[in-house]
Amino acid sequence: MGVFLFYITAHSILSALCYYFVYFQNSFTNYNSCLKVNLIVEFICLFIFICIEIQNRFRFYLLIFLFVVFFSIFTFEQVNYSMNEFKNGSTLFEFFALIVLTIYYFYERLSRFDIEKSIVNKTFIIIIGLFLYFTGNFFFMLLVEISKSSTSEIKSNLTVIYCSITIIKNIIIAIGLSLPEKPENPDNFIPFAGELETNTIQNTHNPS
Amino acid sequence: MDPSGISKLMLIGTMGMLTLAIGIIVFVIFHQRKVIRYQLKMKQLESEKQQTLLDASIRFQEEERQRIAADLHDDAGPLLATARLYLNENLVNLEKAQQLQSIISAKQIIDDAISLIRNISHSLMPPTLKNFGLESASSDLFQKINGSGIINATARFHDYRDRLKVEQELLVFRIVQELVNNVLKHSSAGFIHLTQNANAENMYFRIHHDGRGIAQADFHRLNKASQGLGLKNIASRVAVLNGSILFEIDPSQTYYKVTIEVPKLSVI
Repeated sequence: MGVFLFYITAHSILSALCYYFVYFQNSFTNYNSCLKVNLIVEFICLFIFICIEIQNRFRFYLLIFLFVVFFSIFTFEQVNYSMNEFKNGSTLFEFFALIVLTIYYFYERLSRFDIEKSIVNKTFIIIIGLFLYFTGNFFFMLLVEISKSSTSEIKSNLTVIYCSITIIKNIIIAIGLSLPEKPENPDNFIPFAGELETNTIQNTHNPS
Repeated sequence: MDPSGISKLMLIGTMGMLTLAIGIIVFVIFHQRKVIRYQLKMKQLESEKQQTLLDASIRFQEEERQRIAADLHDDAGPLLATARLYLNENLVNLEKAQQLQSIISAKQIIDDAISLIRNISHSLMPPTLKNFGLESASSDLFQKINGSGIINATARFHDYRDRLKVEQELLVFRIVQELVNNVLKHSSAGFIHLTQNANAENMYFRIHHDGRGIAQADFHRLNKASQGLGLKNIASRVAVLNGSILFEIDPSQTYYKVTIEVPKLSVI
């Protein structure tokens, strides 16, 4: 949960910085740099967060593999395109990988479900929020390159969709974070009083 | 692609992805609710089973205490009271011959009381089992049954060098006693045979008899019934041993067998 809280904090600060660069400084170079840092932080934190929740023993190898692929795409984009451009390749990979990883998390949850980990669980609710965000915005990220040349009306439509999904995500995450930590249930095991014979033996050994 | 097409495609794509995502989430949640209900039901059943076994154990202990109390009160009490009568204060005023007669009678009665108390003690913890182990105690039990001439009873321990802990042996002995008792009471069997085998992890005890018996389903049914303590005590002891018990009928339908499996490294 610490990783996620760090992500929330870093994401909020970086988003605020992005808006500052766009609306106060009108500097798209800084804005794009900030977006890229935001993307890297988001990728690292969310993948670590979900990989911690996954029980698979190969999760760390998977994490390393995803990091390698992501940073390869990211580096490729940085090398081949200018700083002012924001390419969606690494973002799309992040979205796709997170969707797949989340589906695997759900599958794992179904296959080894423990009653103690009930539905009302912080992590589960947060991952639901993230899952809705990444699936809902996947097409937005896919078409963001094409939509750059479209009319302002379409751009505003896309922004409405993006913002609506982001708000839903934020509400769900807020609900998840506001949930109390589940108290440990007292074990309702009924003690077994079948040790009559053991007591008898002890009594026999100790006649006093 | 024209701008309205992009917008439409994006809307449809987003809606499709969201529907898919919500579908997955709803499925996961409903499936989990189903699993929770199932697990709660299983937990409740397990709890009820443990409660039944606990009740049976408590009732068994109470009955055992009542039996010991009754034995002491009804048998040992009157014997000692009679001995006291023989040894009352007037004894010194009696003639020598009468004194001697009273003392001999009192001694006889006290001997009877000692024997009675020894029997009660032996029924709590058989001395053969305590001193020589399960093999000797079982052989002793089966020899006594065989000696009655009513039924042919034999016990054979193939791996008698393998021993369980004393506590485990006593539990196994009680289970065997209860099973033999049931066979003698209900089955009208011509023979009863106990065998023991062991491997690296477990020890197996098997009782064969050719009378009327029960299968595993009957055992579970009778175990859940409110009446009857014997089978519940067996189940309770098997649970304490971390073992298992299997009631079977031979494919030839000629004899019944009961197999008790006891792990050698039990927790007790």
